[in-house]
Amino acid sequence: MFDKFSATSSNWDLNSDSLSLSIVVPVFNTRAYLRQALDSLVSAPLSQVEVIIVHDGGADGSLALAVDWVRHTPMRACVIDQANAGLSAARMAGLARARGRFVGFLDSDDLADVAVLAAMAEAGEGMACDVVLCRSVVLESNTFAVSRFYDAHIWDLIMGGRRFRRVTLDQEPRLLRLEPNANPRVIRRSFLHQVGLAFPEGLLFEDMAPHVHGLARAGHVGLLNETGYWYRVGRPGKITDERSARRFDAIHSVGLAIDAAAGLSREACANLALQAVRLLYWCAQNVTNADRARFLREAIGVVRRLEPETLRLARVAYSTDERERLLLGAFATGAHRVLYDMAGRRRPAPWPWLRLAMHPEGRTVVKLGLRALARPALGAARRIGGKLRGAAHA
Amino acid sequence: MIEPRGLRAALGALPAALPAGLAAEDAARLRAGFYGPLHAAAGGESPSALYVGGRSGLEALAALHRSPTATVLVVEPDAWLRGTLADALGQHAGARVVATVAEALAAAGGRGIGFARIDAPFCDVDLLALLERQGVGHLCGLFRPDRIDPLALYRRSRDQVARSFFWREADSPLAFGGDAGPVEVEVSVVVPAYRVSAEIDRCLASLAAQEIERLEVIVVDDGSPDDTGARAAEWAARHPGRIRVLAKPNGGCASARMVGLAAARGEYVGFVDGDDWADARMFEGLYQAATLGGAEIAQCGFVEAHADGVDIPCRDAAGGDGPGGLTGLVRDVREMLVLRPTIWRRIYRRDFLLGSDIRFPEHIRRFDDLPFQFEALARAKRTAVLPDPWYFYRQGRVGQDVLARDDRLFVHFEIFDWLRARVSTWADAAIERQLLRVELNTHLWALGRIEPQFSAEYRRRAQRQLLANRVHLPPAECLAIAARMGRRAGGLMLGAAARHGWARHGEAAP
Repeated sequence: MFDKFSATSSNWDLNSDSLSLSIVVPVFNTRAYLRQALDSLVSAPLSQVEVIIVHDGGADGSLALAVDWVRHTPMRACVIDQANAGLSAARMAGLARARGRFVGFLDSDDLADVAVLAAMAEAGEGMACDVVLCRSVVLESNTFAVSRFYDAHIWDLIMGGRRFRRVTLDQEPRLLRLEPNANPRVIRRSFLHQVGLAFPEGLLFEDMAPHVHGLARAGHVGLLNETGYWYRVGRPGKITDERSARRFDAIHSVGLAIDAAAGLSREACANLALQAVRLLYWCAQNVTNADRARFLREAIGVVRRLEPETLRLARVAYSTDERERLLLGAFATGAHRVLYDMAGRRRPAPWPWLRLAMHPEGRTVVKLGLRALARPALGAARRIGGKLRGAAHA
Repeated sequence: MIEPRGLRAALGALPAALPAGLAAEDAARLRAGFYGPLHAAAGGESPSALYVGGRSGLEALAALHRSPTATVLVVEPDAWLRGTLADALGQHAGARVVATVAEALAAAGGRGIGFARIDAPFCDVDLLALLERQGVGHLCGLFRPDRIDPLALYRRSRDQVARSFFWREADSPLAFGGDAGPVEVEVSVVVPAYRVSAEIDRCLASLAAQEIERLEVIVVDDGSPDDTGARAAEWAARHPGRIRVLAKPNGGCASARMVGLAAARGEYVGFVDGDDWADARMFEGLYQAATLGGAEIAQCGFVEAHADGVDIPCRDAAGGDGPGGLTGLVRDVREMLVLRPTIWRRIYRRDFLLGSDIRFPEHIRRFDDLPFQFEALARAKRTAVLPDPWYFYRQGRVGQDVLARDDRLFVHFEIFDWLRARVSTWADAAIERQLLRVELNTHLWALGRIEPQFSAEYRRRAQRQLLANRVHLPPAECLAIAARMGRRAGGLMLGAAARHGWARHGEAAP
């Protein structure tokens, strides 16, 4: 792998002692979105922030656009060009050049609020936090409309209306249920090097293990209750939309995250379990039909590396809805066929549910499943009842 | 949902003179993403934000708290409110409260506007013309459909005014936006033409007359032995830049459509058969429905145009979310999967077709539109519908595929083999159920018209295929689905089960 500066802005070489934040932007064939992403990084306190664009191969003209942006921006910015090596490697290449006391990442098809990122770095410094997180929202690419990010309710629970919190993972184990994406956060650079935080190369869903590793080892974690990241969905060809064997990377990533969680509190592991189950089930819905059975077998295997008591705690104390409880119970008891039918939207086969009912942990699952099945039937009965009553009145 | 930076601080420091009720509404709007993703200027050493219609002043205040060096321009024609806002914002050096947009732009001093939010009473063509001269990073706000046409607003914002934009119709759920930049061709219409010399003039005349301006028509002459190609070339000469002709050796309708698709440059692609024609409103209407809905597919109704001049309109919109349910985005696209193949009444976003590799099977000589329709509708996330019968589907022309009554109908087995192989990798059980219904419908239709000497063999082959290699559906469920479709479907499926037994089904064992 080679890398070189393709362009640097006119003020790149100015004294960099005062740099508070370096933002690394890995780019691979995202020309249509790159301009908006980069523009969202142009900040008012220019001297504090630098932007490092890593062009990770690709041939759609992204490089020319990035070079042009760097030449004209008032920001301290550079472009590194390297042969395609994947998102994780591109991030690492950018990190190697970073000089800010904190570093953050922006995917080249997303948007950030740089004012929020800068405030996070400032809070991290002032409050002595190694990692500071912010909220994100979903941006629908085709309409530019925004919608709730799936961890919004966890943010609401954790913050309870506060503007900022400074916590440790032991105080706030629900940190592990926040989006494991590396982006909506800034990390102290010295901390990152000290704990050897690295993104596993060539792996999809690569953020999960470093997420756990980082939060576990951080002295303090800051939470800024402001929206700093817009996660774009619905564009063609996004990595995470790939329905392919690469989903198996998720199992590997969860395995690495569980390794990284060794020695953490049961509460923290329980929250990791919830995050893992959510990710794995979502992937199970999106693998090919031929791969689904094998995927679920391996996924159940990796989840069951966590202790049964941990999985029970996750279900009892930290699940926020019935669906989560059902998924957790099914993973915990190894109810492969139940998950297989749910993920493929198949008519559920009765015998796996019966077998599940024999299992002590499984009874709750069966109860929840029956309730879920009964709900439409009850609704129909109510409607019919209403109609009959209406007819009687008439 | 969103916690915009600066909002909390602005609420904490809200001057008492500002209208509190309106401020509460503004705060709720910012938190709900009412104006789209951004709420203040992203950019530059001196970011600038423009608020046309001052409202409570809260947004301007939040922008100033977000970035204290920002230039914030507020336009408020009402003198009393202007005075109040000026007092409230006066302590911030970068704030200016003025009466007209022209004054505000003069105050911006020729530098671009990073962010602009327009309130409903101010959104009109004149304002856009003013902003266009200045250039805007992100443009958003409310509009009233009686003052400006939504599609015109969309095009103008995208092509001339802003890098990204988000508009919401006042008092309506309609909202649209984007950051894709200007497009050269909005819709490409591919016209596969084979031996339609008598009909193609009407077809191309109707396409030449389409209201939509940025349309390209690609006629693919599929090796016609008659003068179809020459006639098309005449139209191309009359409408250079709008109509062009590609000639290829004969290879069937699917191959012609694929050649046209490969040559298309449009944001969306439509397919019009060489013997049919379209209402002048069709592609403008479809483009509006698709683009304002952010949909991959838009569909309108159609007319069966019979040779004796009788037109039978078909307006089978499938439950849109618009007022009255006849327009808007389809709530459950799966319901549309069982519609008869009518691919020509839709437009499809081109990057969606390419990205999902949705194609016409070139090796299959007829009915290639069935698998295309099924895959496109099954994979689309958003589909918009209109009831208007705008496509004219000519009936009863000699040589039409649908008139076949002989062993050419056996092509169905090839089609379903191909479609199943493609769909079975990703389809869930709900889609597989719909596919089974499509297969049964197709077979019943074919059995109803096929000549008697082919009937037994068709039935035998259909029954062999019906139960084989289902991914999700056990035979009992297949039977139940068929039985609910009626006696004939149930009978066909029962025969399949009796003939080939439960054992033949290839349900994947986990």
